[in-house]
Amino acid sequence: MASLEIDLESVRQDYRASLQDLTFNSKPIITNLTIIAQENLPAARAIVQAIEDQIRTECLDAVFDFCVYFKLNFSLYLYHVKCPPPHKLPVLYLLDSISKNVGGIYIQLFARNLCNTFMDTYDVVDQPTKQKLERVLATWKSGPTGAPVYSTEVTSQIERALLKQQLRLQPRGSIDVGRHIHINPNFLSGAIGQNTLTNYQQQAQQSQQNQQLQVQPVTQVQPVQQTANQWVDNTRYNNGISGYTATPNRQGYYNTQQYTTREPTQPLQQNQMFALPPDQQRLLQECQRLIVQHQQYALQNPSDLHYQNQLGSLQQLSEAIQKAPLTNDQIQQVRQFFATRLSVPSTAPTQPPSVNALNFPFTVPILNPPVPTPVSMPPASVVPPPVPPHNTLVPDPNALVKNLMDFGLLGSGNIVGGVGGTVTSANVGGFVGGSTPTPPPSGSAASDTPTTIMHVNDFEKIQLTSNDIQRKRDGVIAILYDALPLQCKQCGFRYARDEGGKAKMDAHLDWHFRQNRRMKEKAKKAQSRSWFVSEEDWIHSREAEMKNTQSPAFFDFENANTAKSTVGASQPKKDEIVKESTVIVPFDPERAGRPCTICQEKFQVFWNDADEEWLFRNAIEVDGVIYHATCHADALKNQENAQSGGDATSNTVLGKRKPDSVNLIHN
Amino acid sequence: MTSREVHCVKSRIAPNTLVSALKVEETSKEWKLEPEHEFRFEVDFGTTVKLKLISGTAEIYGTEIGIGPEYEFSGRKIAIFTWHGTCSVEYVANETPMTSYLNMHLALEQRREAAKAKGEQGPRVMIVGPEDVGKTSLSKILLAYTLRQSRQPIFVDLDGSITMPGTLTATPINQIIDVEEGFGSSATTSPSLGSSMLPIVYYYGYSDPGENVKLYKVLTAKLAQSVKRRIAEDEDARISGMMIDTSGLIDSTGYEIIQHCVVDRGKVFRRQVQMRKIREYFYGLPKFELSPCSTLINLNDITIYRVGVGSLAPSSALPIGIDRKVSETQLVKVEPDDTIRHSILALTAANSPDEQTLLESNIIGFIYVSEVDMVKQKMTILTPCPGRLPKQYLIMGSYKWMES
Repeated sequence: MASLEIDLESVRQDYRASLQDLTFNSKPIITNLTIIAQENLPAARAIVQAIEDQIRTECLDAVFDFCVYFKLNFSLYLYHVKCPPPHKLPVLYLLDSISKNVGGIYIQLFARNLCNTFMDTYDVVDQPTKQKLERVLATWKSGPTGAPVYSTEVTSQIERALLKQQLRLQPRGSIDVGRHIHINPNFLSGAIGQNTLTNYQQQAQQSQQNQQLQVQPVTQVQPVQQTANQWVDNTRYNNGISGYTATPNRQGYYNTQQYTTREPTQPLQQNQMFALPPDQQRLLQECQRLIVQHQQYALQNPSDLHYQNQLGSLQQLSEAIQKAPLTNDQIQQVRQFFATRLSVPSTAPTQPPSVNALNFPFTVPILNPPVPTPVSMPPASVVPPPVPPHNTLVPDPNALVKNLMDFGLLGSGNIVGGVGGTVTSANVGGFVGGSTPTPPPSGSAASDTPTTIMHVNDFEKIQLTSNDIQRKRDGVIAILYDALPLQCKQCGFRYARDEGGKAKMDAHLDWHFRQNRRMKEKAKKAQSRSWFVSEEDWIHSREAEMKNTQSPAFFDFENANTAKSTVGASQPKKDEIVKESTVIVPFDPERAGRPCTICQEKFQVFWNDADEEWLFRNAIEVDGVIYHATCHADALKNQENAQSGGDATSNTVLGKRKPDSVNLIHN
Repeated sequence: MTSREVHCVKSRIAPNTLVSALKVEETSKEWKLEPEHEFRFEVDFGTTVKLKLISGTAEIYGTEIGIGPEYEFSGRKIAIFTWHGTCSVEYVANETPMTSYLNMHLALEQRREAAKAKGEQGPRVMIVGPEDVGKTSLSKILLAYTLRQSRQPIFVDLDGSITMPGTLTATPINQIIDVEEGFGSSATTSPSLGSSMLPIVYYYGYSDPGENVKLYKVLTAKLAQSVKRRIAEDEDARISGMMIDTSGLIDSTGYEIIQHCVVDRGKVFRRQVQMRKIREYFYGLPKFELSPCSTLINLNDITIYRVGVGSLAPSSALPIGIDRKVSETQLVKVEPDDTIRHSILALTAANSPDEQTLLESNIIGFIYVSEVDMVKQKMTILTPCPGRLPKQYLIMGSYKWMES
């Protein structure tokens, strides 16, 4: 039995992978996938699940909130979210194709959730696509042979939903409309999310202006962002902010390769939440000028790691400067540091990054981290920095930045805003300034860590004797901290700054994202512990976490686990999806007090933070009557079963339709 | 939410690491920690303490905590440690064993590197010692460090700290250890929880190995076999090695000796921890609540066994030729009646009642018997997730629990 379930799971995985190709209306792919579906009738459940998952709208609000909260680039994150709207139509075509060509069990399986699946697609696509979807729906009502593909129960449910949708969109653009109809809570919070984003952006823009950074315009046209724009434009509730476009400088987490080629100032302009005092601005400019000089030098002398190291630290420093207000003393110290350590001829601070700096006379590379001069230090730190790197740590940019920080430069008053915009030594080399995505993983940054931080094998072999174990060693702590400069803002976990580390970090963030999303879902849906895996599964299973760098498959985990427990596992899961459905508590107290007409039990009311609404849990509104979603689903199912008493015959009918319907629908 | 005690073991003024513990309904306090100092506090059951790292770096049992997020603790003993901070001149002697732990980690890591180079088995560490000396804490720290090194060690827990008490488990550690959940205290495959650890579980059923040494040996051997089979395939885990946490002294004579030394308070605390774990298994944590499912089942749909305890079944129910006196690993069928009320039963993965299979079978989950109706031959049980019971053979241990 277990092997069958594993097979199901692997079919689902395979099918899901194949679905990734279906990003445009391609007849061959759809035909192919249909054939696969036909060949795997026993795995129909898994395939249906894969398709539904693919279509299912991701909770945009969750994405929005997540991105806004963690200051990530929404549009780019969206890229990682499952199925962008333009890709939904072909998947729905596939659903259609399978329904018409294979039929049978697939009809039953799709029918359970067809309304949601259809509406999920319909909700997010543009008008022409909507029309195409309506045409598909029409063919379901009367297929090529005249017989309906899906029972009228199912199609009329969709039609009702469509009607409501249209009614809602037409006259009033306000959220209030939603009160009288069953409304997907996502709609509302989607709008809220947008607002937040807009505000946030405005803020970011303002602060940019305040800083008068001399930043060259960033040339970037990212297909990803276009997707996002489209998304937003098509969002049901524009709420008067339809003019919104994602500004290009909301750099994403994922396209870090840009940093390697662009000017270093670019990543600095993000997420600045406060206006810098003039002195600090000048300091910043100086710092940025140095960065440019270093960069150009580094370009000329790619083999010279010292400059690249310095560059890395300068970039971090510059980010740090932007993140935290500095005191005059601290500014002076940095200046001094620039002057003494970097031997930079003092130029007018307003001078823009100059191309002439190509010949910048770089004669004295920093070979030692700056030694603090006690006189100029703020009172907070009267002691030398910890773990002074004596030996091979010499040109460590992290140590450099760290030392600067230890000077007290960033020691106090560095908490910016409420959302963890802090700069401390914890962030050495990592997310300096917290809210910034990955710091430039340029050649310089990539090459610095391995050369400077001691590797485990650099230490003499430790004997497992109590003496040797208790001996203090310098630089050991660094293997847990400084060697792993990429730090997750949410949990503090660290990764190395190399290719593998970045991939892991991405996977890790995706994991967080899924976790957060589940936390949100928790309000709507009861979660429970699943059974433990069987011995064989445990021995052979590998956690995909670190290896899975693809877009997150949100429902994977549940499926992976539930699929193993019982044969009927997907049934409870379906039920859970039904249970997720909620209805806003009606204003009319008489109506709100009514129990479910099917089971006569009262609804459970809960507060949804995201929507800022009281909601009925496990509820669905059909024709103005609120039912328990599960009761309603059961009732529907019973009707369906009663109807499809002659299922066997309809099977053959559907089967006959094979040749023509593909053509019919997909051109 | 009654008494709120925060014991601060060490708190000195240093500018770098700021920890603030916010107690519910009370104002928050800030502590500044010097490098390599530890801040310990104990949170009573039913009390919540929120903790937030304001600046610097800090770790809880080896897992680094982030700046900003709030961590909530209840009914736990917590130790926050910091390596960094400004190095003070009047540096006090190292009072925590953390340097040793870190060196230990380094030594292990060196061996892992060597194992990787040669394609050999990584270090396997067994942590032994009397109870309440911090074996599990040390395991946590070493595992967390190993994890931070992007490795996937396997945690073999012979102490029942991963899921239900009385279990022997092995868990590949591949995800950040959730400091709030406590390390593995609610390891689960549930999607909702912070940790997504995937343990393999065997059920021993008692809180100390001395109660049925033979069974304990059978199960540990079986567990070892599974782990070996896994690491034969899983290169990451093989190189990362494993950490074996034991429960007290396994040697029974040594155990008897040590038993006298165990502080009573520790026992009470441990008992509470066990009860909390059982609750957690079904209901999760306040932050990640789970919904178990109460189901009515027919008594003849299931078969309950006990291992090696005085027979509860009438002689007629025993196979012919079997003496009433049972050996330590003898399976004894339990006739469901009122006595099994409030018991925790382990659902085995076995498909046949064959003694050997059943005995060595891994556990797919636990149920709680809330009511037994002898007249109707039905039993009300609490299952972790909805749906009917996937298997039918259950093992009964010594654990009882009252659903509160």
